[in-house]
Amino acid sequence: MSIKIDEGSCIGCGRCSDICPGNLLVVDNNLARIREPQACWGCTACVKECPANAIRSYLGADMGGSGSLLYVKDHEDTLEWIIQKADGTTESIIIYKANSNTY
Amino acid sequence: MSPAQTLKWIEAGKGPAERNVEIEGTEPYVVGGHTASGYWINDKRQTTLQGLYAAGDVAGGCPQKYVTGAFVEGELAAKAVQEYIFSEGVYRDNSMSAKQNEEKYSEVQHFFASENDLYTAAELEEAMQKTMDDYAGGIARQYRFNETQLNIADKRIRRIEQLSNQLGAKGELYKLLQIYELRERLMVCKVLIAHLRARKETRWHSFAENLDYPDKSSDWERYVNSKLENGEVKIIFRELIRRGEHYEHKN
Repeated sequence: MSIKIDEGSCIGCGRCSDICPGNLLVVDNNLARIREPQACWGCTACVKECPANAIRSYLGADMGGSGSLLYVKDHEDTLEWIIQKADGTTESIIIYKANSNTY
Repeated sequence: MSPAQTLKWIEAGKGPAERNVEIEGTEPYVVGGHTASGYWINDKRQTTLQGLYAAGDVAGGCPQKYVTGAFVEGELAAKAVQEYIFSEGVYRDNSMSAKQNEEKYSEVQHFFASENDLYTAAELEEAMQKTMDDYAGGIARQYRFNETQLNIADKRIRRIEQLSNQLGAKGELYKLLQIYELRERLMVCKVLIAHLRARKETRWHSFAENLDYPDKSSDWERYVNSKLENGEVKIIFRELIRRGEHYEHKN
C-alpha cells in the first residue's frame, strides 16, 4: 500500500503532511513527498485531505495490486471514491457522509 | 473494510461473494487491539497513571472491540477527561526531580547529536522483528512458543536494546523520532515476552500457543498484568471483572 503524488498538481500546501497519522509526508521545495513508502498503511487520510486532488492510493505489486489508482471527489453530501484501472476504465463508489459512520 | 481490500476486489473484478478470500493470521504481533491486552484501565478508561486515559487498541481487558467498540471507549474517555479537567485542572507531572529532568535531557541530546552510524534504527528494528518472529511466538513459528524460546528472545531483545544506546540521529529530528520509536517498541517486546512467560496455559488458541502448557485452564481465569519497577517488568495478577461488576484502581 502506498500513495502516488502528482508533482504537476501538488500545490505544496502541507495539509497531507499535517493529517498523515504515520508522520510520513513532508513538503520539500513546495512539493509533498512520502519519505518511507513501505511504512504507509493505506489509510487514505491524505487522499481525502488534498485540496488539489494530487494524491492517489495504490496497492503494491507485492500485495497483489495490478496498477489501479484510488482517489476521491468531494460532492458536499457524498464522497465519490474513484478507482482508475490500468486499462483506463473507472469505477465509482458513492458514500453518503451522513451515514458513513453508522453501523 | 480497508480501502486497500476494496481496491483489490475491484481490480480483480470479483468481490468476496464470488470468490473465496485468501486469509492468513497476522494479528498476534505486538498489538493489543484484538486480544485482551493493553494498558490497565478503570471504568472511566483512566490508566494507572493519573491524568492519562486509554481507548481502543491500547486499552486492555476487553478483547475484540474493533472500530465500533473503540469509538464507544473514545467517547467514555473523552467525557472522563473533561470531567477530570473541570474538577482537578490540567494534570502536570512534577514527579521527576531536577536531576532526572537533566539526565533525560542529556540522553535526548546525546541521541540527537551522535554521529554514530554503525547500525541504523531500521536495522535494529528488523533484528527486533526477527527475534520476536522466531522466538516469541511470531508468524514464522505459527504463533507457537515455549519457555526456552522466550528466554532466548528476552536475551536478544536486551542485546538489541544495548546496541540502540549507540544509535545517532546526526542532528535530524526524524531520525531521533525513529530511535525513540525503536526503544519504545523494544520495551513493548520485553513486556510481551514477560506476559507470554507468566501465563502458564494457552488462553487464546490460534493467537498464541504455549507449547509447554497447551491446554486452557480454569486456574488461569485472571488477568496477567505488569508494572515497570526500576526498569524491570514486574508481573502482577488481577482477578477478572465479571459482567455487571465495576472496577476502580486498587493497585
